Amino acid sequence: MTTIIEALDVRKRFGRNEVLRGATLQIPRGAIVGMVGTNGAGKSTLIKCLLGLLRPDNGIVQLFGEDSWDLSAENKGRLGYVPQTVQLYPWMKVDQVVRYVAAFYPHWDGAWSNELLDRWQLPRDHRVGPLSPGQMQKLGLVLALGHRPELLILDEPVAALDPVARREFLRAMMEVTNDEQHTVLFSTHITSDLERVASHVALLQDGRIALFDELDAVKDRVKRVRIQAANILPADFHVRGALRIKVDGANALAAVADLDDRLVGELAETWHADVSIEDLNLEDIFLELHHADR
Amino acid sequence: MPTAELSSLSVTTRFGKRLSAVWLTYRTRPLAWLMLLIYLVAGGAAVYQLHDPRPPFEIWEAGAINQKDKSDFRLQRIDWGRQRRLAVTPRVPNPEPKLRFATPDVQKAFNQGKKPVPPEKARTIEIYSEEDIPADFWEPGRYPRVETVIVWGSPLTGATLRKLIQTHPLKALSIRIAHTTTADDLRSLADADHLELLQLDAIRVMLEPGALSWPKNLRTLSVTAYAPLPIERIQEWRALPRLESLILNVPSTEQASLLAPEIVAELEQFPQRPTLYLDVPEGSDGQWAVAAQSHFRRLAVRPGHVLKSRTAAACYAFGLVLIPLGFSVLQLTGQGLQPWSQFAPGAAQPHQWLAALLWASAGTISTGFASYHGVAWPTALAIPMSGVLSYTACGWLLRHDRSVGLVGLVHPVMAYAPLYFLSFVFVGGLGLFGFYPTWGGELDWFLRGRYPALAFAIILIGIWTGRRLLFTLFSVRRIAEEAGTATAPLSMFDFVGWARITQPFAAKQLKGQANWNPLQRNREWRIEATLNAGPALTRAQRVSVWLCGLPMHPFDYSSFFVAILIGQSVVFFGVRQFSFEFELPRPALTGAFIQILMMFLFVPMGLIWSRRRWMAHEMLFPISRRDWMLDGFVAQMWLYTPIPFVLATLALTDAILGGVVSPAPMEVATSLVGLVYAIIASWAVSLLVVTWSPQRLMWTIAALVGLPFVCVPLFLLIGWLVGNENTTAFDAFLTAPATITVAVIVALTALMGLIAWARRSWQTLEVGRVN
Repeated sequence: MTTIIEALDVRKRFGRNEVLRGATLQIPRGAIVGMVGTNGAGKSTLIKCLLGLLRPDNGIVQLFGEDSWDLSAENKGRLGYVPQTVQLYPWMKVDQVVRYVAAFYPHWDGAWSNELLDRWQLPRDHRVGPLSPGQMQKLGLVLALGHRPELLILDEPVAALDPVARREFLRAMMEVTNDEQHTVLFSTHITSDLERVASHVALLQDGRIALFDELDAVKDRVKRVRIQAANILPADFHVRGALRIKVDGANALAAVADLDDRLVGELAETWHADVSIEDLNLEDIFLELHHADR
Repeated sequence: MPTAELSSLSVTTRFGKRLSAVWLTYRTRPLAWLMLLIYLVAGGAAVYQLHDPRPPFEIWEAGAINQKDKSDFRLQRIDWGRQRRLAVTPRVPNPEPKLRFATPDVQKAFNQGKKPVPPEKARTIEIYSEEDIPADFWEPGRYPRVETVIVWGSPLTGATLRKLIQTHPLKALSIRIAHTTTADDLRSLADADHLELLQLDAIRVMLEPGALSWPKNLRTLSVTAYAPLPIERIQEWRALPRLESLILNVPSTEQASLLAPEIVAELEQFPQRPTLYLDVPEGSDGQWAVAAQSHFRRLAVRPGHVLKSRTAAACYAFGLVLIPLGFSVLQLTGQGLQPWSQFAPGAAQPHQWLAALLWASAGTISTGFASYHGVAWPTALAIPMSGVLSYTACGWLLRHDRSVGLVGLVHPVMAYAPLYFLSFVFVGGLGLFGFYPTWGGELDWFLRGRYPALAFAIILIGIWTGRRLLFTLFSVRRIAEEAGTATAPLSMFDFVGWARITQPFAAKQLKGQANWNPLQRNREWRIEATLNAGPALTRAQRVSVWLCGLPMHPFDYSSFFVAILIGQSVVFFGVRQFSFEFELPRPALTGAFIQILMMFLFVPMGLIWSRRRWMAHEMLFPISRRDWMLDGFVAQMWLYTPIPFVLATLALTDAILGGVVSPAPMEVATSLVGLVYAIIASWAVSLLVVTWSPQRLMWTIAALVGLPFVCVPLFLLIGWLVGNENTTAFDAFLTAPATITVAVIVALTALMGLIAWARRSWQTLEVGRVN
């Protein structure tokens, strides 16, 4: 499978603050990747490095097999980007800004962008300045999709939207990219959105990609194990592969990656315990990975 | 001040405590300390200027400069007015090569060690003789290039003078010490149509009653006499329609005043309002008192006395003090306008109070000192008001990208108007000092209160622009709050766009403002025209499209400023602030050109600044990084195209009107070089700064904005020195520090440019930080 995005050992520092500490990520064609991470984890920085808006201090970043810093005009034409806050020329009308951006693209699909404007009910004769944040995001998406890009990168595109607008936005995004030819990378805090649309999930933690896999595989891999032992568990109670353990007397709660029957058997036998396994949704997994209580 | 800190103080805390808390937060800010340092240095300069007690007259004696040097021969060569940039007398031009004729022994000395000058190449002829010059000396064709003739001591009969005038189209003629010359001898002067400058020194007939003849097209008349001139002479000069400069050198005494009231009254009636240069001996301050009360448009003097420089110097020193102070006020005001300060209890008011108190105290002190030193009160009040004007304009300019005018009534383009007028006082004035030494006289008149309309205009505009501070100061809280609400989206520090989210009025204002914006229509047809260019854009087309993404097109702001220039001229005509009766006023016209130039330097920077947010997105357009940078560079250079156009207009006007606008083409050429250099240098430095330290955006802006303002005046100065043929070696020596400064700046910038080029930093510019 062709790799569209490739980042190897990417490091980026702003002054004394090292934001990216060796992030590695490879995204195949057709994948819809949701990138999650806490505030300040480096999601926007990584995306900007991927886009060539920031130059990494170290590492390799490639888009379409080409160094993203010196991306050719041709490959830039295959790329669409919606930033966290869409900032456009406030003095232009919606229609004007679309045509302004279109002028730079040799293969802009005018009919398609017009259809998107109609579908999302964006007022063409209104100035960009007074548009609501939701309308701005939609307009940003129109501008990112108008040239039918193969790769779409969105940096927290729905952060400013209300739940209705958010769902509508995601549905629209899926409609236009759901042909397995488009690759999408989007960062978000909202794990429910990610579960709704993503095929893959990437977790950015402390400047590194701590987890990257297909969404179902991640959910399969990480489970919560509830242990009820016959005796009080020791303070150094440990479970192999545990992301987090909480011990309370004879009871323990552990989030475990790569859980298998053998490990369950070992726990039951060693501690004379009843071991039950619970499925986790993505938000739970996210919280477990960040050692946060619900 | 952080919200948390202020919140902890809460509204229940006494106002004084909150005020001191705001004040104390500035302790940890390096910029505040830098401002303080600048303030102290500038304040020191002001104190230095003002340490002398107030003089009885607004005249400064040359003898007071240095009594010891007074006997020095150099004093005779120095025009102190010129050295102080206050005044200068026009000199008789004597371009090289020169031919000198004298008695044999003197001639021998003249010729010693010099190559003989062929007569056909001579441009200046100087004759030192006590005998009449034979008429055949001026045979036609003997001196085809001669422009200036200087005659010393010769009686110069009428026949000789007639032959000279008939055979040679002279521009300048100087006749000195010709006691026997009669009115009949000078009659042929009436036929000297080409003569622009006439110098008559010690010509006895000048003192006698009876009519004399004068060249019709005379621009400069210099007269030296041993006694006061008869009133008829003055009346004769009234009929010279093109007279620009009148130099009177009459060594009068206190008892026999050169400026007798009847002469003053007569001179005031001159319709052409010439520049009046007076060579007044020491100890005749009474005459100056008369001069000071008169209504001459310009006044300049030669060695002996110069206009008092301290008044002007004090005002400029105060201006220096007000600059850092004003920025502090701007900072404080900006803090008070922040959206968070509207919500944090007790945050906005102390900031605004501090700003208002700071400005009010500085303004009061400045006005008081200026008044004490003889500045008329409207002018003294206008000085701090012009500061308010400039800082408000700066605020508008910096937040121009919000595209919201003042309470939705004023288009953002109007933000540049105060800067335009301000440049007249500061930047324009700087240029005028180089261009026209009479500016000193103009400034002196302004300080004395001769232009009340200008002073009141500055005060009124200052009050209007700074009304928010004013309301705060007078505790008109409700009005201040309303003004604050209305102007909150104007917050210059709103770089992150909070106002759009937090200000419910912003959208309404934007919409209302957009609906009547006439420039939008202009933009629309341009976008229409450009976007039909086809699928594959050439660089020129890309640049054209790029320009469509600016808030204003060069055409827009060019039209705007030309309209202002025309309006300004109409106003000047109306109030007769400048002598428009017959001649175009040199300082006014040149000043207007300089203002236009400076604004064309300002505006593109503002436009580029306002666009910075979108640059990151534009980087992802299907254009390679190198092409994108080159497109941006070409487009931005295109924004500066009006500047060479203005310079070319200046040169053309100069050529058509014959030296009316610009004294020398060399000045235009060097200022153009300075401009180009300044732009390139600022680019090199700013790119270097961005590359090395992307976070230091302010340094980038400082480099982009600061360098042109250093380079252009310096190059103007060089141009003035190079273009002025009469610059002496001593003048050049005095300007050596300026030359060295320029050399150092050139060298440093070139070095930085080389380093930047070696690092290929312009290719590795990270624009992502601006988002």
